[in-house]
Amino acid sequence: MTAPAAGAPLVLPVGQYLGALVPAAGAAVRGHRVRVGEQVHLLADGPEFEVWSLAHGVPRLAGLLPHDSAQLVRLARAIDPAEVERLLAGLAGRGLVALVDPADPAGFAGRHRWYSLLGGLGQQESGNCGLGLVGSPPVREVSPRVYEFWSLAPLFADLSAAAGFLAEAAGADPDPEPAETDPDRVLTDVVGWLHDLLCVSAGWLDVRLDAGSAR
Amino acid sequence: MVALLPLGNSPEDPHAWALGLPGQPLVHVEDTVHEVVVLGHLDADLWTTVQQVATSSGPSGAAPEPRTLLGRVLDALPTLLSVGAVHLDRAVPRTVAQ
Repeated sequence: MTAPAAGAPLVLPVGQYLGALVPAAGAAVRGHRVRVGEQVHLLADGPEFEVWSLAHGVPRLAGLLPHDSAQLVRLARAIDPAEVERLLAGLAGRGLVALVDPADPAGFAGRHRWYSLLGGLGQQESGNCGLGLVGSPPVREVSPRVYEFWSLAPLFADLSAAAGFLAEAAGADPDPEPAETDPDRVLTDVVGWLHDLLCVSAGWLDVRLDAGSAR
Repeated sequence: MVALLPLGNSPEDPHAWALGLPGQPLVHVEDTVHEVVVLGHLDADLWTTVQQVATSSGPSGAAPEPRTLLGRVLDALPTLLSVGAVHLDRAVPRTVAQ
């Protein structure tokens, strides 16, 4: 992944998309529901939802360019840049977007966790691993390390714990790669992988539910 | 646990909730079954989610009895599983690292 410009936080969407909400037959879409933790938010149909959607990244760019606010402004061409920034700030204030310093993701990673969507299609001819629907071509191919994260991270309470497990597992390899056994470096990798998965709805970020608040 | 993206309902049939890929609905389920599907990951087992949804469906009086709702979920499962909209796992705490 290309290193972001200094001082440019990554823009990461938070919440489980629950779809468009139509209140009654023949009615217009009232908004889009997104659940964060135990709270369901309604995003206005239009620029607000568009900005939240674009925070997931786009498949042709994910993993190639840093997904910071400048990138998001470029993608949201139909919306005035100042309005994009205003909407981003509002979404961040509601916990629907996280602005993350890629060089210091520990705080974010300790407060957020990962849930996966789609099916795992295993290793493909490319050597990468497929995600998608069984019996169909992959929706996206990701590296084996990203695939391992996608398959295991839902088991952990937060991203830091998931990264720690991946680092420990890598250390058990007969010939471990040092960078893959350092939890801090793995966590940096994990944060860099998220848009690779988010851009095709292969999962979502949610807040960490502490034991006391879990249902 | 849900495995496809919830896409919401539509003006044509507001009681049918779609799951699929972005812009590509693959299966529809009714309101309360949909709630169980999209909330299932929060609980340690399916029965707990069914009970939660049955007791929190709002004051409209439309909330089914838990066993009735469980029956609807079980009826929907073959279709949901066949398109990869959900997956089942053992009833153990999903979070192994607190």
